[in-house]
Amino acid sequence: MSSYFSLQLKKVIKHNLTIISLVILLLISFGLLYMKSAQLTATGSLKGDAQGQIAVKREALKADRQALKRYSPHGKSYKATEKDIKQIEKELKKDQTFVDNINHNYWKRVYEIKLKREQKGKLTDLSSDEKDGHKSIILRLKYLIVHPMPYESDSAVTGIQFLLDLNANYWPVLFSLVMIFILTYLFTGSYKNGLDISSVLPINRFQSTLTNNIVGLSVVSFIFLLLNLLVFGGAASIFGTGRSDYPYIIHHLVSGHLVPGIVPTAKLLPQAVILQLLNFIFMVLFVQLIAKIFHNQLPTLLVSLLLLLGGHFVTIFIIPLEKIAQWLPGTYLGVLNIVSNQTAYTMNNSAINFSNGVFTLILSSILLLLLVLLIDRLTTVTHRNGRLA
Amino acid sequence: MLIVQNLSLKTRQPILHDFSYQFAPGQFYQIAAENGSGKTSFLRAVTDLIPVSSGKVLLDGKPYAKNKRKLFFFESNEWFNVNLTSLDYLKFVKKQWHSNVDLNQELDLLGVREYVKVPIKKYSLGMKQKLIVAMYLVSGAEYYLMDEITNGLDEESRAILYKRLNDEVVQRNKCIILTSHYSSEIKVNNLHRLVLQKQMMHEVDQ
Repeated sequence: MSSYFSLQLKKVIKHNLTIISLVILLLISFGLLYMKSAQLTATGSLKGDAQGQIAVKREALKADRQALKRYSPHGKSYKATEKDIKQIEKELKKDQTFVDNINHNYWKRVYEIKLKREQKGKLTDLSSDEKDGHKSIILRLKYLIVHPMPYESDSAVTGIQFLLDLNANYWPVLFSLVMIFILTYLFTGSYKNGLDISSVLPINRFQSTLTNNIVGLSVVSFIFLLLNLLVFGGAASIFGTGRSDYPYIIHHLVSGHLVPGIVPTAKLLPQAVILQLLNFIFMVLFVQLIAKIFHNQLPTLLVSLLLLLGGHFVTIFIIPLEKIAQWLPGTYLGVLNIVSNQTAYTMNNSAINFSNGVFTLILSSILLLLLVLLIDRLTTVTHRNGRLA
Repeated sequence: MLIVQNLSLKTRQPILHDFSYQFAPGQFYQIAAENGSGKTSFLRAVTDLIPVSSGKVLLDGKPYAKNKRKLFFFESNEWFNVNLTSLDYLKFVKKQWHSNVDLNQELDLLGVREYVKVPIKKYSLGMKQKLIVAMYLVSGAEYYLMDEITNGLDEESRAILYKRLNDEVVQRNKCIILTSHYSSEIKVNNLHRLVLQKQMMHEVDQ
């Protein structure tokens, strides 16, 4: 059985598809990193905003000083402009201090100032989602005041933040898409003209199915780890590793409602890893089942893509399904959004959580495994019955 | 002994009707038939690749599924994964069939050693066929089911192959069932010729 495992593994490793897939995913990832790095000092970032304010105020100051020359020193306009200039100079000084604090890594002071500014903002015109978003920012700043550390929320470029961003927003679909291609190749490789040629090997169908599952799971997990490692290494070597205790915005259930909260990033990882592994097991079994039904590469690929990725998006297009989304395995494709309850918050369904994810994915995987074994059994019986008929 | 009892076979059209025969160790069997008459389907049926309409096949008293290690069948070079190398396949076969055949020795028979680490996608038809031959020999199985094994092999290689297959039959007591168009060039001991015609298969005099 180990030699069969080794042969199946070689089939995947030696195929150009695997290398091309890895390269494509890396190119996309580093392309995103490049785009995100451009946002670092842009408007909207902590430092960029302050610097923008300084530039605007300097222009205003210049204009006011020019205007002052035109006015009579005893006139009302002169006095008003003079007052304006003093106010702008005061604010400019504050902004400059804010930027200096950032430059000198006086993060506690930075966050205290930022918190005061955020708390001054008017919330009356905001929607409830926007209010929750604002509350999250306040919570994050409060956490950062207690645990001062460099700001990483401008743009996810540090090793850890970039990895989280990719895993939350891009890879659930992109990585699954690529893995479906590889798994389809692996599982349909033993079918030639519709015949399962692996049946002439001196191993039984159960062993062959089990080995293929393990190979599929190993390949997907290995590529995922390798990709994470390379992306993390790349981002960390340019922008630093980032902090594993940096606050991550979550939603938690309080009196039946999901409200914003904050946890250190590292706290989310164990649950995310468990759910990710279960997702991989589900995906491997699913593609294998489809391969056993169709015995052909193209239909297997199309049906797997349609059902696996379609299953992920179905709740977006068929809104009523949000109510039962917790029982659909496709809901749990983006594991970080599950463990942070972001998906539950977006779908307004608090039952979409880690526990239900584990339950749904395990149950679905068991069902898929039983179906795969049933097909194996039926194939064997068909041949045997044909012989006895 | 490979015993076929009342085997009937039908794919898109009837292939074989009520065929019974005993393929014995130490014997060489050549199955001859026109193209498309079902030689390959017969080999597939023996190895459970396709269901049969009726009948039974026993390999040393057991169904094939329970005695797979005794028989080796690799239908054609289309079965290869072209990204792998000869060495990948030969090592795999040796381990899977629990063979104690010396792999190094078999690499030299038809010259597979020269390209043993080259991916199969770079092989010519002849090179692929030589690899298939090497896989049969490395398997150490007691029964070889060979489908048009000499396709793409030059005259010299065919002569070496038949000499070696003769040794396998005579010295190692193997049972070889081979389908081939080139009936006249098979010069081996213990040869039996079977003809598949109009859904009937029967042994003919040489």
